[in-house]
Amino acid sequence: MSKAYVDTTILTNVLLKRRSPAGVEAEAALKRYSVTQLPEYAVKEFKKGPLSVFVWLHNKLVSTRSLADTVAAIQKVSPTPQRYRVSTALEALSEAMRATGGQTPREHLEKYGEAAKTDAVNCDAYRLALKALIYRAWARHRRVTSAVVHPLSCYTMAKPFEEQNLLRLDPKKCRPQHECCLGGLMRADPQAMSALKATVDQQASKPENSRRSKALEGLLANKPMTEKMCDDLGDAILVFFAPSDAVILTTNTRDFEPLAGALGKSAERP
Amino acid sequence: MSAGVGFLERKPMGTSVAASELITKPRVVPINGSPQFEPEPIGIDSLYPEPSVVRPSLGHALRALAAAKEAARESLEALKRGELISSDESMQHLQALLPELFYCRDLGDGFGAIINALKFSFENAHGVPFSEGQIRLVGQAVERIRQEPFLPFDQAAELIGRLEDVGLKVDPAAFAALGELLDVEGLR
Repeated sequence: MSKAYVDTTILTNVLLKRRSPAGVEAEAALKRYSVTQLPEYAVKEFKKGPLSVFVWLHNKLVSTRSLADTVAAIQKVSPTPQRYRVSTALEALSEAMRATGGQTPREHLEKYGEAAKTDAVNCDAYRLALKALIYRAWARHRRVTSAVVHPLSCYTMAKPFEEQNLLRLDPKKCRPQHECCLGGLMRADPQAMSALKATVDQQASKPENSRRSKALEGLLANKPMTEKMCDDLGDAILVFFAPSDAVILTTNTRDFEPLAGALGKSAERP
Repeated sequence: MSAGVGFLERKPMGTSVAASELITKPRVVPINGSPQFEPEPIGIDSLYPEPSVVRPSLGHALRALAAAKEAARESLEALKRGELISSDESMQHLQALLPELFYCRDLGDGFGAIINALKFSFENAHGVPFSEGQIRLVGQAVERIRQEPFLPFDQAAELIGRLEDVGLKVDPAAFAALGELLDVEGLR
């Protein structure tokens, strides 16, 4: 029996990139396994990361009521080294918007007023499509795998909601009583913690790895697992909890393979 | 005496009457005993005989949606007769109604999102005629918002999901580019 343990990148591709090759690949990959498991931690990461980006975009369209201003806002927040990638994406967006533009007939402007203006039509077309995609993604997230596993007792799985026309994803953070519900389980296996830390320390020096290493160090020192440590551990949590008879399905094999290897597990791309 | 109105049950003169019996007791008539009772839910046309009074866009929307529903029905009928061109022609008529229907989106985001999804489904099909199953579901979606123009958003999203499940591409093509944004570290 083949089993896959699904990470956040796969969940994102299946839910938010259905039409892109990445989404199609991810869906096909899930069908190759007889059992597919989605850890709730991946859902938490999905909500805090990719889904939040889409919610931010939606809310930007609500607050600016303008596509051009929204596009400008995206460019402002994009990190400089990757601005070219963002620009490419935005060019494609702008192109599509121009294509759907055109002039509104005068009689329609007289009859429907503001709602018929081309800018307003385009802005709302994208806003409503985004909103529907966000709601659909949330409604589908528990159906894309055969099971949702490793529930997080300190995290509330609340669906997106609306407040003053803006979408909200709260809570995005856990509310641990004393510590994160995963803390005790992880500290119970110091050998695995040490192996993970040694591997992280050998990986490329980047802020994500430094934070992960520090969080593992804290657990090895028997410190209670805070919300921040839970966030910083990221991939290490998914590798730790992946069943040993499962393949970790991810698009990020570069980071996952060494970590999985440290615990005698494996990671695979779709 | 009209049914359903409380009345005092009278006894012949001279009969002794207990004080408690003098209290007026309304006679309860089951709702389905009323001549006005209709066992079916009230249809949208009876509910809003003059919808423009409620909101001008409601009047425009209900008229256009009735035409759209009819177009979907005609398209299916033509398909049954094997008249493919006639079937597609009806769907072209339905498609042409969508931009104006989108101007009525002040009825609610649920309404707007469904019209939007139908609009993008046609655009993304690039002229390729819809299948029978797709036409049927488009017709059902149109009828649903005709009956419930103020449909809550989560129900609209669920309906859009069903359109997607029959192979319609309900999102703007540009969303493929939005997916790219998710791969940009620092934006997450």
